[in-house]
Amino acid sequence: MFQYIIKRILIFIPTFFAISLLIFGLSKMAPGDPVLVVMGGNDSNGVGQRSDLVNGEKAYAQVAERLGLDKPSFYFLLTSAAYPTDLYKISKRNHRETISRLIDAYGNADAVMDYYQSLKAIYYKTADIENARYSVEGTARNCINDLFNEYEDGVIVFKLNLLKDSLETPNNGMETIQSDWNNLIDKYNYLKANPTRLKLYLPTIRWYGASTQYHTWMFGDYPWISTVDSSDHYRIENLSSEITALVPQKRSLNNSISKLRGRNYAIQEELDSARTNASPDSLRQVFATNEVQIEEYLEDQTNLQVSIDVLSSERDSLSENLVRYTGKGFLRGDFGRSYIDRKEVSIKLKDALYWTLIMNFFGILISYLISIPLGVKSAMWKLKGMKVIDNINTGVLFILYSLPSFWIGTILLVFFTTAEYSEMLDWFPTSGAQDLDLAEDPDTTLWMRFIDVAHHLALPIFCITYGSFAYLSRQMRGSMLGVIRQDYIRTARAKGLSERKVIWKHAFRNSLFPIITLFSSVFPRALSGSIAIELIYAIPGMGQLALMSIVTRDWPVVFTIVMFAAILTMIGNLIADILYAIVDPRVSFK
Amino acid sequence: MFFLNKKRTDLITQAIEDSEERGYWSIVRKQFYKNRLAVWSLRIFYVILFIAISADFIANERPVYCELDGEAHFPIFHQYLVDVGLSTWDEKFVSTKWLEQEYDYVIFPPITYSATTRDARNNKFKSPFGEQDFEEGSNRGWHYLGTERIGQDVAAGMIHGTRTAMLVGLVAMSIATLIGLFFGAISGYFGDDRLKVSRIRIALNILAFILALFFAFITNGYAIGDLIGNGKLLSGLGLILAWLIGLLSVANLLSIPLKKIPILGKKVTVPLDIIVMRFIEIVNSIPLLILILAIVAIIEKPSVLFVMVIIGTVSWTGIAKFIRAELLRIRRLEYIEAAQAFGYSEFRIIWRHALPNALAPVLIAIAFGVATAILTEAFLSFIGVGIPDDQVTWGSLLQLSRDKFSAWWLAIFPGFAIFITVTIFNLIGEGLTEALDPRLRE
Repeated sequence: MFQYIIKRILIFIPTFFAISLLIFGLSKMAPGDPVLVVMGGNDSNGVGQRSDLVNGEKAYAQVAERLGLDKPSFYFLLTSAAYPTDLYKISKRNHRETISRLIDAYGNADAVMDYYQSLKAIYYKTADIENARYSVEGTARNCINDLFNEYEDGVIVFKLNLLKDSLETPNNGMETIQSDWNNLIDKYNYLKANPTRLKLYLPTIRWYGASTQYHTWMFGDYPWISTVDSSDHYRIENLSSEITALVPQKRSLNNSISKLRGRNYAIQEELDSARTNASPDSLRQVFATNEVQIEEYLEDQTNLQVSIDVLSSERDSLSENLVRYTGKGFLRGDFGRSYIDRKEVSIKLKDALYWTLIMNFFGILISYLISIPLGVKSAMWKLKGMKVIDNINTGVLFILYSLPSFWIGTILLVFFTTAEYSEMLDWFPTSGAQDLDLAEDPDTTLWMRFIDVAHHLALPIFCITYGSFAYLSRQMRGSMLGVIRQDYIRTARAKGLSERKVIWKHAFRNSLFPIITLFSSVFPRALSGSIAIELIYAIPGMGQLALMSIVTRDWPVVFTIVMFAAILTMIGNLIADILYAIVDPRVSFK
Repeated sequence: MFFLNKKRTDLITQAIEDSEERGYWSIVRKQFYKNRLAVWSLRIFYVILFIAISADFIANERPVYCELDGEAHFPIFHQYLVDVGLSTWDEKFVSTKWLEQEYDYVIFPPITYSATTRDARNNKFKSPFGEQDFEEGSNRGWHYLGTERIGQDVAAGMIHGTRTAMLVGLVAMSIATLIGLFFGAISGYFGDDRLKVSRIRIALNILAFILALFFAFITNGYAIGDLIGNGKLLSGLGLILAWLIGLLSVANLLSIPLKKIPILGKKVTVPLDIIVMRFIEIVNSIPLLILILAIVAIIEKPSVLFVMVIIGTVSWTGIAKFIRAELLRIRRLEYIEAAQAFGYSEFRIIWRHALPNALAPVLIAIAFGVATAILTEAFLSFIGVGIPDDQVTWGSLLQLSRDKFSAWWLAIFPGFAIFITVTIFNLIGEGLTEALDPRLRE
């Protein structure tokens, strides 16, 4: 038995990794750029000065690094010889896509990279140009930005010629990039003239080592044994906060100085004009004290500036050498942060799990509590020949089993949560898992809160319960009928045991098998089964989180949910097997 | 039989008929027809199938027959020609809507709306029993099941939704059956001990498989991806299959001469059963719905076809398990041994001798699988994932009722259609289970 469990757990490991690979592969195939999602969809595309462009690109690269997306995807890559080894280093996903599309079309990676680099150089150069004619500048920006995304020959040629023509117009103010542009056209033509498509059919395997996206996701890049010296991080944080505290001081000093200077300027004017009521001596005195004050302030300011400089130079030198880690990885309990709201995935999961667990705990409890006795009872009805009640029972159970829960959920929502049809039918709240006012009110007692939650969750729990209840009852009835026909039941009866004892002691225990196998699917079903119900009743649970994160392609959350569902299924299967052995002494795992 | 007299031939035909009557399938059929509910479900299924096939003639904004300017037209038939590109529409049909034309004589289908025809005068949720607003002498018929927000007819949507539902059930289950049959058959028939293959063949097959993946997904990855993205799913999948089959056959052909070298030709046992079962375990470890959602999410252009294919490719494990269990039993039977003794190829034994006797339980899995596939598609369109916005399905109609609680017809009818379809397939599955179960046979 023990050996069997160990063996099963060992088998889990490859299954677990296979599933993680599957989900990771899906996330890589999905369209959309996670970095842009994290940045809020803002891509400073060709607008602004060169420094803006550089900063935008830096910000993009930083986000990509923080997400661990600046690394190659996997330990190795089966690819064609045409592709360069370090394609992943091009940080922008759309650029990477365009480059690999071009390589896919022509097979000549060097020429493609050459074309791309000179396009990029022109991109920067254009940003520096001032006082160009508006229309030409607009055409240039559009053409260059489009070319970063275009891989179809016709479109590229069109864009290249479009800008070429408008650069040839006189006095456009962009003459500096004309030769570059013609150069670019030459490069593109060279690319077209020298394809090496055969290279595409040459497979190669590239090794990237352990520093890859998948590795970071699963195992993390944080050191396993030695803890990272976080003093540098703290020091940097402290330095930053000190600097931020000093900057307003300096600014207020600056303000005081300019105020005093203004006052002294006014005094000077008054003295010069000599048309004043006050005595010149007292004015001069004020002037002198002000001057002294200014001197003092200036000195303070210089000191402040010096200390700020010292602090910031220390900060810069520290952060230059600082190694930043993406995370500890899935296996060490670090599930990363959501792409959408940057919340930690574990916190999001915990919040969502709360409601799903409440709903499913009561749902499963109720359905098991009713269905097992009902299944046994209905088997008795069948055996005793009580046809009418047996037929009604099986009919109702079958209908319940076939009713789609999202339909029943919708119907209950439409008819029983508003006064749309009749004042009499407004029984339940329309949406949500609790009354938010009540939840935030400190005066509410636990009992009131319980009543409120029960009121909100009654319909959802009903919707997730009735189906499994009907299914379990039918299974229980079927297996009970199967067992009751066995010889040993006849023997038990022949021994003169009471019917009660025969049923509950001899038959019941053996008819539990199907119920046990179903138990293994309870966990994953709880996770995914309530998607529709949570959506209909707007309950912020696991199902809704799963759906939302899949639709918005929030891969850290999706990855975690699917992995947990898989782990729970495997554990469920194991528990079912062990329960089998406990219930049925004939089962052995040799 | 020319030398036998008439009496003898009659006797022989009688005997043949008798034996056919006592054949396996005729017994199963008899058993099945004893189950009244299952038989009625089968009849309802025929009705639904009829609605699905003839949906264009039941609910369509085009007339079945019309006379316009002295010419006779069959617009619904004509539409089929236009769809396959054999014909085009006259200018007068394009410029004026079908329902606004003034015909000399016209026969409309019972429901004069297509699924996406808008009725601007009856938009914003018109009840089937309430007031509906029609122009005097208009061709537009009554909205039997009401309308939804933008004035599309619910009855027409339901009729055309029937077609989608049936297609999903059919296509998804065909794919699932094909995959399930393949994996179930090889794992059940060969088990862990029967497949003995030479080393070189294994090596070459693995190499060919990797190369096929390389050529299909890396060298031609963008080309195939674009094909699939543009809705030409079949040609995309066909290309992938062509690479796979081509390279695998080259590998197997190559291995025939190479096998003669002793070291390369040494036979190795492949534990196929373990491999396939592990694979099934992996697929089963992910909740089906979440897996489908995750795959649907990576598709940029949603389409019902993708949904069908995805449902099919993830729901084959049940069928595979059924087939495997049957073949594990059948492969020990004597007639299989006899076939092996005859020297038939393994493929022929599986395909011609073993599989036909294992198919019965698969019918049960297919019946329940169709119900699940239809339910899954309805669920996906209910939550608005994977189905294009302009496609009208039962699920998308049901989903509209959440916008407007007073539109009870949107909550009742589409859901009822889903319920009935799922129920009849469940009942057919139950009927088959009973008919095929020797223990329950009287």
